[in-house]
Amino acid sequence: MTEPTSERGDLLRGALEMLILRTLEAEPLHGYAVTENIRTTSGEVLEIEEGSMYPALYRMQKRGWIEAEWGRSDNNRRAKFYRLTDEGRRQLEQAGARWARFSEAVGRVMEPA
Amino acid sequence: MSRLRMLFSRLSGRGTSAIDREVEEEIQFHLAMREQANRRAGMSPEAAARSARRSFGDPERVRRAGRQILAGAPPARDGASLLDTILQDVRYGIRVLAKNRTMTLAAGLSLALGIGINTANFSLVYGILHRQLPFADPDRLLYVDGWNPTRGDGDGPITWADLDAARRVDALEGVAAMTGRNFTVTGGDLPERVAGAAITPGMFELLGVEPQRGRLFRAGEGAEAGFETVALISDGLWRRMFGGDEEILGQTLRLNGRELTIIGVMPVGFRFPEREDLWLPLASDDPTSTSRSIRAIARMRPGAEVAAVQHPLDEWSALAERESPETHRDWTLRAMPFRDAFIDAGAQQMLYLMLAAVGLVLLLACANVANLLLAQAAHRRRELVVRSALGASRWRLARQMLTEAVILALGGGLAGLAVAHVWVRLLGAGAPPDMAFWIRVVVDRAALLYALGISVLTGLLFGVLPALQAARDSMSEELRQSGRGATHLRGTMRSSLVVAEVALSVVLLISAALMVKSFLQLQIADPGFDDRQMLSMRVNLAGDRYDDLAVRAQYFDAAAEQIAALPGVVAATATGAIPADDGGGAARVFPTGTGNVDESFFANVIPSTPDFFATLDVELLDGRRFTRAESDERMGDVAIVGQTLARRLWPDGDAVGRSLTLGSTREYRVVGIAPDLQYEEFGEDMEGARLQLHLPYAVGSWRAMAFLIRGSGDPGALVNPVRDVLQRIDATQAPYDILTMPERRAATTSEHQLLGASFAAFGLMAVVLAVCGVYGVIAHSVAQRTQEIGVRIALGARPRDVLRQVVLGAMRLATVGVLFGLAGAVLFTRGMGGILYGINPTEPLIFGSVGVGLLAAATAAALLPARRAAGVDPTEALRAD
Repeated sequence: MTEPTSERGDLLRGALEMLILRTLEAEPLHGYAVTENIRTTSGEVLEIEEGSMYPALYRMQKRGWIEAEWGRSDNNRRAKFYRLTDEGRRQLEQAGARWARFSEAVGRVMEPA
Repeated sequence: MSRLRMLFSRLSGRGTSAIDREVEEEIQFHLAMREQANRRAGMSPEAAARSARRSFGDPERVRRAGRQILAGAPPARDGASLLDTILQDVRYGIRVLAKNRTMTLAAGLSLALGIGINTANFSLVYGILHRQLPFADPDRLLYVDGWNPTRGDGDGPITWADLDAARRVDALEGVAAMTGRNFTVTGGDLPERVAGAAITPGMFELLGVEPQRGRLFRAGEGAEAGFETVALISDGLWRRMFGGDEEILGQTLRLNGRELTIIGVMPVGFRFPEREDLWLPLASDDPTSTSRSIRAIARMRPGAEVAAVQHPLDEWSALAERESPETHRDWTLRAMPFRDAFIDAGAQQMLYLMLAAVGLVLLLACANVANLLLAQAAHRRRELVVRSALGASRWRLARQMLTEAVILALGGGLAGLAVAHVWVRLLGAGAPPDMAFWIRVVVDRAALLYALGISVLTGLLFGVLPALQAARDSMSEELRQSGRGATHLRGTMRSSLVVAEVALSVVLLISAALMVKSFLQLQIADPGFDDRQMLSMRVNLAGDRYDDLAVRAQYFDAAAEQIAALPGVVAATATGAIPADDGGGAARVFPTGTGNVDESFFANVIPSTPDFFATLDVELLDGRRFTRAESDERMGDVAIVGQTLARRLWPDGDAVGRSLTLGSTREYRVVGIAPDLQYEEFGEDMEGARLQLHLPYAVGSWRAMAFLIRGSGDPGALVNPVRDVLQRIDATQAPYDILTMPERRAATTSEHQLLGASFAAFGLMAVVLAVCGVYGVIAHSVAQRTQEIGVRIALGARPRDVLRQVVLGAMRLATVGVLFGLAGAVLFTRGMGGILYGINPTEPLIFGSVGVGLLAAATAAALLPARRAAGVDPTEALRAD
């Protein structure tokens, strides 16, 4: 269908960003908290390489979907907190819709004949 | 450990900026938190740290990402450059096109055709109007001639005094003069007519052309006409007549009875100014002579403009008119770029008209291909939706479609080059045979560039719609194959395309019909007499012998008599102008007594031997023909005037018996009135040509005359017997331009034939493309709506109704297209007015029949898919999804 390598990358990246946005929807968090959150909420199904969180965060920050601010963590250490912007909220909505369509499509393909 | 690394990286000078520090701090924070969590879960400190590092992954990646992303590099999604993504699109596009072979082939053929004929026409226009002339610095070359609006078609030669005046113009760095000469060259088996020119020494230097052998004329080598001693020949003549003899220089040529020495051979292909093969030196017999016999070529100084030349020439013209009204009244000098002198406005109009027509054909092909691509798009919706869900932006998807379109167009363009070659060859075959040597119509680098540019533009043009559609499709909420929403929009696009196609074909077909009809009209146009069984040929008496008027008259009289005596010949005459081809001589006339020389105007003078009207089988309207005695008289004083001239001279009627004055002193008595004949080519309607004055040959006594021979059977069969007669009378004179009158008519209308044939071809292409387009759209729409049709049939609709609905739908589209097309045709044909002969550009019969015809064709095209629709089996249709 399409170039597998880049599209797979696209798929994963798109999904990851969607997950991060969703996690930040409730409240601003620092990178470690986001990782933990996704791990626990997904029932520990989604094991993401923790370091790969940060490039995704930087990208979205550059695009203006999230904002960053240095603050204090629970145990009073300096940490960089991320927060959703309005644009980020919009992107989250669209991504969610697209994902729903995609999963439906996959489901139909995989449906028993 | 990590702190050491941080120190190390700082020491090594890598990344000391604030962003790097922040990223580093973030990494350390994360690792610390994970380590802490691990320890709380029970791991030993070393295990906790190790595990934390392992689950984090490679921190270098994060540092790099931080540097790249936050420190300024734009967030490229795949990290690939624009070029990479374009290459990706190209590779993907080629795969897609290769998979859909039939569509690609159909589209490719349409494009090859459209782009091909466009490239060919570009070569034509470029070769004739824009290609650099094969002279040095050609943009600075001007052509200088005379202009007299009251005379013939306006342009005429200049005098030697005019040439002197031109030489004095500041803005010119050189002026040379030339005059055309036709020569009879003897030395071979038969005397051969050669077109040549007499040029002032310095002409070729002015052009910047050097001979391939020998030398050019020297100053002072100019001789009185008839006393030249040297000659330059063309490469073609050298090879034809002398077999390319190496020892050509110094050999002699017998020209009009005199021997000339060949001093040089001009380069291959050089036949200045148009198709001349022989050049003699020219000098004025008498610099103050008032005869108009030359035209001039001038070179402007670098940086000068034509206006700077024209202005002093205008001043001179005004002065000359004042000082020498007998020779310069109504005359002005005009300077123009060299090329303009040979390509008139009419020819330019024809060329641009053809270019416009092929542009329309290309648009049609584009519409067709866009339609094909849109039909394809329906099958690719799923692919597009999935790609979009995977993160491809709408722009990326649209760009993919555009890339495919451009690839398709470039492929079509490549194939189109082959079409262009063939078309150029065909154009060459139909071209008039007397094209100037500097016109080269070939598919060369300029044409290739044009083909490339047009291919890309074409691809972008027809790719826009599928690209838009793709962007829309990717946002579609429906994934079912027969999703209605996007299909409806796409259907509107395709319907509009069909309307556009029908409209374009209407315009092209109407243009074609008009051109063809115009050409046919030219073939049957009435020259004023029956020319079907007539043969014509020219003789230009050469040699000292014929200096004597009496000898000339004797030749033509004897020739006409002997030719008439041949078996198969009904009558023969020698005349000064061939009807429907030449104009005659121009001379000023006014009615004797009641008029004066200041009121004189130009008339067309035609001297002929006595049997002129008998040969043409034309009855005079009043009076009588010339008698033999009157024809023999050298200083005869009788004339026969044409109808229109008679009315102009004597509006109150009754021209017979009255007298007119030719020039300023020669008086002639009118003995007869003749009907107007067609002089000059059909379509070149000049007022002067209709003012006809027939004189007995002895009075006019030109050297260059034409024989008109009426036969009882096929005129072509008379060619050899007539040649024999002329050969017997004087073997040193060669007849030339030997054509039957029907052949001559075809030759003089060859441009119209070319136009007519080209337009007919375009019209045909247009119809085929439009019919295919209609068929394609209807067939596809039917296929798309199979389910709906099945439901309707199942619910009780009759097949007949379905058929009618489909056909009506098609007819509706076609009607709208036809209406637009008719409106467009009115605009388009407005540009054809000057070229069409004998018909109205908005001829209702043609407009009507084309409109109805295309409507019928579109309806027929819709019938097949409509039949298929009517035959849909409802159960099958409902099952298929």
